[in-house]
Amino acid sequence: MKKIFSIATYTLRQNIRNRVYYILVFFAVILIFVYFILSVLGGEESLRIILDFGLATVEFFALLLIIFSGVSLILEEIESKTIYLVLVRPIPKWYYITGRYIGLVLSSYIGMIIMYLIHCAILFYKGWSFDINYLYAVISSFMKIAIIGSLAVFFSLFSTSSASSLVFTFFLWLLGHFTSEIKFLIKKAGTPLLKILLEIFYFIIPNLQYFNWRDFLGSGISSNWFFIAFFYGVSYSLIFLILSIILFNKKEF
Amino acid sequence: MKLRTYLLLAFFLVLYLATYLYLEKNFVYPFNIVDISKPENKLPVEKYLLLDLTGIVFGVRRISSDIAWIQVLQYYGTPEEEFEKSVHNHEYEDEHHHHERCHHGPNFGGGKYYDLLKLCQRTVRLDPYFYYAYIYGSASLAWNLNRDDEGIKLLDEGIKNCPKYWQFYIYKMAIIYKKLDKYKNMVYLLEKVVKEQNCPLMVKAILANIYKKAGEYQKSLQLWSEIYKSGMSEYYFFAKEQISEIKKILYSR
Repeated sequence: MKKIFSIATYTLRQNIRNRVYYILVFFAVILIFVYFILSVLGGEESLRIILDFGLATVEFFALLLIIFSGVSLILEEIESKTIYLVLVRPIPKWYYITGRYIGLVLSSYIGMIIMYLIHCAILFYKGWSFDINYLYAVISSFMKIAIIGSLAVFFSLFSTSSASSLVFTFFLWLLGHFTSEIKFLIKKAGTPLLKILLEIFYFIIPNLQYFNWRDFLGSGISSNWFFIAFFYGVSYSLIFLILSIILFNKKEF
Repeated sequence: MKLRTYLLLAFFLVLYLATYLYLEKNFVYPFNIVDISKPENKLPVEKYLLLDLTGIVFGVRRISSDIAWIQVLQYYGTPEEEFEKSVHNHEYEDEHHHHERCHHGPNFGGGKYYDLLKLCQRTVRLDPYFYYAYIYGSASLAWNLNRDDEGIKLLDEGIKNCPKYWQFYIYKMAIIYKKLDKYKNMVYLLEKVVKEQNCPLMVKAILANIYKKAGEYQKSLQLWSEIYKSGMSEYYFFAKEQISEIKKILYSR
């Protein structure tokens, strides 16, 4: 456990020291302030505009953070051969992948927490009163990032270039929001074979709509399923993390 | 290690399957109430179709709706050239009116604005829970533009999407009374809705103008003061003008 923690801390430090990390967080914070000014355009609904744009910005920048860091996290170390420094030590390979993943996700979460705090401060300044749905939206975004992080790590081991893993991860993020449309396509599918293929596809891709709470604000949606969705996210992330470990174990150095 | 990894993978696959099945059964996508594939719900403004669909695909429906709403306000807030010419001789209606803010004159909100209904429909089809857009849009259509049927049409869409939102029924009834020239009944209902926290300032301004026209200056003054005290808005300066004007009338009595 201590070894995993050490690798996670090392990854966290590595990511936070990265210039891209600062630029992204800084840019997101600036954008949140820009929405504060732009909200004037929304008339009496200015608060809603700051709320929606802010939540989406934090999530989008966290997504960029985790994708860009995730796809190069292990690939770069393999290419530069610095990975040998870790693997020559008596550390199981799964410790390495797990530690790297935890560090990666934590670094994104730290960036997100900073952005959320600034967002909340602006909202309170505008006269917003705290709503529990905000917390649900934050937890949902955290879950999305954990899922995308595991996919990014998996694709970085699966493909040979960071560009292709970046495209795959981004593509799955996109499809994850497209699930209700895929469901619609399944209903409309003409042949049984196409229907089965679409069903399999629907099962494999992560249903990120379960974690799209920021889009459901104001809809009065019940939170009964939220706890189960949390386990859905955790199991999905862990499946891809284990698959990454299997792939990593099979890799020859 | 290998067996343990596969056992763990199997465990999380089972957990994933269980949560997947549960969520498939219990999660109801809140935007399903507006099926945009049906002709009666299609997104009404072709020009923005690509932008709107992108918002849906990326899982940012609320933001798309916010953008659509800003476009509504920009459209409705920009004076129509034709209208400007026709109202420029409105001295006979209000001798105290200052011409430098012509479009904020006694005919504020008037004009043709043929696309207003379509633009409002676009907003609420993207986010069917955007209550404010229904109310603001229908009130503008009915009281400012004298297109009662279009106002009712928008409210009917709101009633269909959110039948539990009781204020829609009151607004609809108020428009129907207006159409039937039942002034007292209409005012009674408007008095009821202006007490609500989420009542748009525009509705308050409409009622204040109705009171003024009917010679009920005290009530009008009270509403304009409320609008003025609510802070910076499109009505702020107009409310200030109205307050001093009504006070003059009351003192001169």
